[in-house]
Amino acid sequence: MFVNIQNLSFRYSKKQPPVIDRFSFTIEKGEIVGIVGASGSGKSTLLRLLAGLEDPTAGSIELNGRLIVGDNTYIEAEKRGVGMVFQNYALFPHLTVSENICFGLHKLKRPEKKKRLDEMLELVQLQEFAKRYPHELSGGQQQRVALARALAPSPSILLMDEPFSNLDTNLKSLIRMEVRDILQKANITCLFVSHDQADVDAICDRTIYIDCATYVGLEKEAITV
Amino acid sequence: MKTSIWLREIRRRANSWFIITMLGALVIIMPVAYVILSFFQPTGGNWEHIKEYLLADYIKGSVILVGSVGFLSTTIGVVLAWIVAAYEFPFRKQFKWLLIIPLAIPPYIAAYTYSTMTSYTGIIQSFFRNHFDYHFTPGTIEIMSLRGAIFVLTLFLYPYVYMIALNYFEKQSASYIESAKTLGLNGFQMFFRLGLPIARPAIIAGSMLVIFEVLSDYGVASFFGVRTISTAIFQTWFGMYDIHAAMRLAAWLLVIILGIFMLERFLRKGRKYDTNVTQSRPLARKRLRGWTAWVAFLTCSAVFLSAFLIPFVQLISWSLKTFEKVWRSDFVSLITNSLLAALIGALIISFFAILAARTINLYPSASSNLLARIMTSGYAVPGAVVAIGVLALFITLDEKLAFIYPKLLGVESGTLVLSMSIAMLITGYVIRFMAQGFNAIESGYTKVPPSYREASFLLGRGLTYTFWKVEFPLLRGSILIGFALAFLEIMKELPLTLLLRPFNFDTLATRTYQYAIDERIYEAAPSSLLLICLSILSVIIILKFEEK
Repeated sequence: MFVNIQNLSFRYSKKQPPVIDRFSFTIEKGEIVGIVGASGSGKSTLLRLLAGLEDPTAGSIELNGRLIVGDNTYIEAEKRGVGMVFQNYALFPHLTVSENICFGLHKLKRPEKKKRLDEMLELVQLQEFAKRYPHELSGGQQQRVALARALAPSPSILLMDEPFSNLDTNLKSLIRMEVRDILQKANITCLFVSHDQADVDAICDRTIYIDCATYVGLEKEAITV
Repeated sequence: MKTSIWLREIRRRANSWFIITMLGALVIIMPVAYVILSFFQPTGGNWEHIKEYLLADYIKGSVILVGSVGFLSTTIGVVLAWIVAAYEFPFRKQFKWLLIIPLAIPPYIAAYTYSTMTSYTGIIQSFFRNHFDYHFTPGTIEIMSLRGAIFVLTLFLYPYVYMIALNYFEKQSASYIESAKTLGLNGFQMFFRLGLPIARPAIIAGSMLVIFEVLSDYGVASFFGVRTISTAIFQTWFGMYDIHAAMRLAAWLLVIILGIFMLERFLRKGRKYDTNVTQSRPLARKRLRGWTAWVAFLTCSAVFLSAFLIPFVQLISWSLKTFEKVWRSDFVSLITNSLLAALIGALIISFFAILAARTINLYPSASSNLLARIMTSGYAVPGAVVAIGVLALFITLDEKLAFIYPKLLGVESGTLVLSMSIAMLITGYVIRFMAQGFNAIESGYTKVPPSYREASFLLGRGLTYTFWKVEFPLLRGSILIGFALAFLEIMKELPLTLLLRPFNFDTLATRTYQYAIDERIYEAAPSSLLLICLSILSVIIILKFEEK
C-alpha cells in the first residue's frame, strides 16, 4: 500500500460534528484515485489532512511506508513530499511562471534546477510563457503552471482539489485530456477531488464516493475514456 | 482529544514565531495588569486625601466631559454623515473628505489657538472693536474652562463618528432606504425613523472612539483647568510624587473604561443589522435644490471653517511672525528627537504586529482572538494609564536589577537605569499604538489567501522563508501603512511623552504644549503647524487605507 489511512477523524471545532469520522482507505502506487462527494462532505478536508494543512483529531496516515501522522507523530507539510494543486491554483502573483515552478526546487543545484524547469515547461507546453506573471495567463494556462509547480519537486503523491472548478465548460473537456496526459507522462500517484462525476470519469482509475466521510462508499472500476 | 495528540499539537505550535508573539503580548499586557493589581496594594496618606476630597470631583469632571463631548460630537458627526451620504449638493464631493481633516489638528493645539483667538486681545474681539467699535461683554465668546474643553474636543473629535457613520450610510443602507422611499417616508422621517436606528451599531462604534479619546486627553483638560482623572494622574505624579496614588487613580480610570465597554456591549446587543445585508450597493443620493441645497452647503462649510480652516490660517499667521525666533538649533533637535522616537517605536510596533497578525492568521482559534484583543487593547487605555503602568514596571525592574548595574555598567549602586532611559518611553508608545500597526497588517492578511502560504509549505519551504518570499511582498503596502500610522501617532502623542520622557528630552508635541502653558502662544505656532501637516499626512494615509 502506498497510502494507508486508518480511522482518520477530524472536526473544525468542538461544537461542530466531525467532518471526517473514523475514515479508512488505501491507494496503490501509481494509481489515480478520484474522490466524489457533495459540498461539505469532507473531500477537500481529506486532501488537506493528507497534505498536512489540517491536524486530525485521531487516526493515522502512512505514506510510502512512512508514518506521517500518528498519536505521537506529526510530520509538517513542508517535510511530507506531497504536491498539491489548489482549487484557486494559488500561484504566487508576484513571481513569474518560471519562478513559481522553481519555488520548490531549492534542494537542486542551479544547472539541475534549470533542467527540471525546462522539463516541466515542456511537460505543460508553456515554454513561451516562462517570463509571464500569473495574471497574464488564461485560466487553463494558470492551471497547467500550478500542475507543473506541484510536480517539479517530484512529490511522492499529487493531490488535486477541484482543479477544474474555475474553468468554463468548453475549456474543461480539453483541459481534462491534457491533465490526464500530463499525469500519465509524470507517472505519479494522484488523489483527485471533484464534485463533478465527469472529471473523475475522464481522469481517474478508481473512484471513491464519500458522504460526510464517515465510511468508504461504493468503489467502482475506472471508466476508461 | 487524546493527551498524546494534545501534546503533539503544543509541540507543533511552539515555534519561534509563536513564542516571540507571546512575549510581545506579555509586554503589552503587563503594565495594564500592574495598574489593576494596585487595587490590592496599600496606599499612603495622599490617596486617602484624594479619595476623600478630590476623587468625586475628578470623576464628575470626566463624566461631564465624556457625556457632553460624546453627545455633541455624535450629533454633529451623524448629521454631517447623513447630509453627505443621502443628498447631492454643491461641493458635496469635496466636503466628503474635507470634513475628516479636522482630525489632523491635535485638540491641545486647537485649545490654545481658539482660546487666544477669542480672548480680549485675540483676532475676533480686536476686529469687532477696531472696525465696528463693538465691545463684547466679558465672558460671552471667550473659550475657557469646561465650556471651552467641550467645544474644542467636540469640534476636533466628531470626525471619528462622521467617518464610521458615513461609511455605513453609503455602503450598507441603500436597500433599506430605497424600500423606505417606496413606503412614502420624507427626508426627516427617513433620518429619524430609518437612518438613525439602523446605523446605531456604527454610531456607537464611532462614539466609543470619541469617548476613549476624551478619557485619554490631558492637553485640553489641563489647558482649560478641567479636573479629570487623566489630569489628576499627572498632578498626583508630578505634584505629590506619589506613584502609588497615581496608580490607584489609573486603576479607577480602567474601571470606568471597562464600564463603558460593558455599556457598549449592552447597547449593541441584538442590534447587528449590518450583518444581515450581504450586498453592498452605493446609496443613490437625492439632489437638493434651492434653499435646502444652501442649508446643506452652509452647514458643512460652517463646520469645516471652524474645525479646520480658521484655526489653521491663524496658526500660519502666528508662525510667520515667530518662525525666525523659534527656528534655532534647539528646534532641529526637537525634530530629531520626535523623528527618532517615532521611528524606533514604529519599527518595534511593525515587528510585533507582523508576528501577531501572522500567528493569528496561521492558527485561528479562540486564543488567537484573545491575542488580537490584547494587541489592540492599547487604543482604549488612556496614555496616562499606560504611562503609569510602564513607569511602575520599569521602577520595579530597576529595583530587581540594581545588584547587577554597578558590575555591568559601572554606575553607583541604587542608580535608576531603565526608568531614566528612552526605552521606557518607547515601551509606552509600543503599547499605546500597537493597534494602529496591528490592524493595518491584519487587514492586509485578509487579502492574502491562505492557499499561497500552504502552497509554499507543500513545496518544502518553512515558516520563515514563506514569510519573506510569499507573504512579505504581498503585505508590503499594509505594513507600510501600519508603520506610517504608528509613526505619526507617536509624533503627535502628548500625555505619554510628558510622563515617560527622559530628563531634558523634548519633542515637538511637548515643546508645543510647554509654549502654550507658558502663554507663549505665538511661539507654539510653528511646531503646531509642523505637527498638523504631519497629521494631515496620517489622515490621507487613513483615507487611502479605507479605500483599499
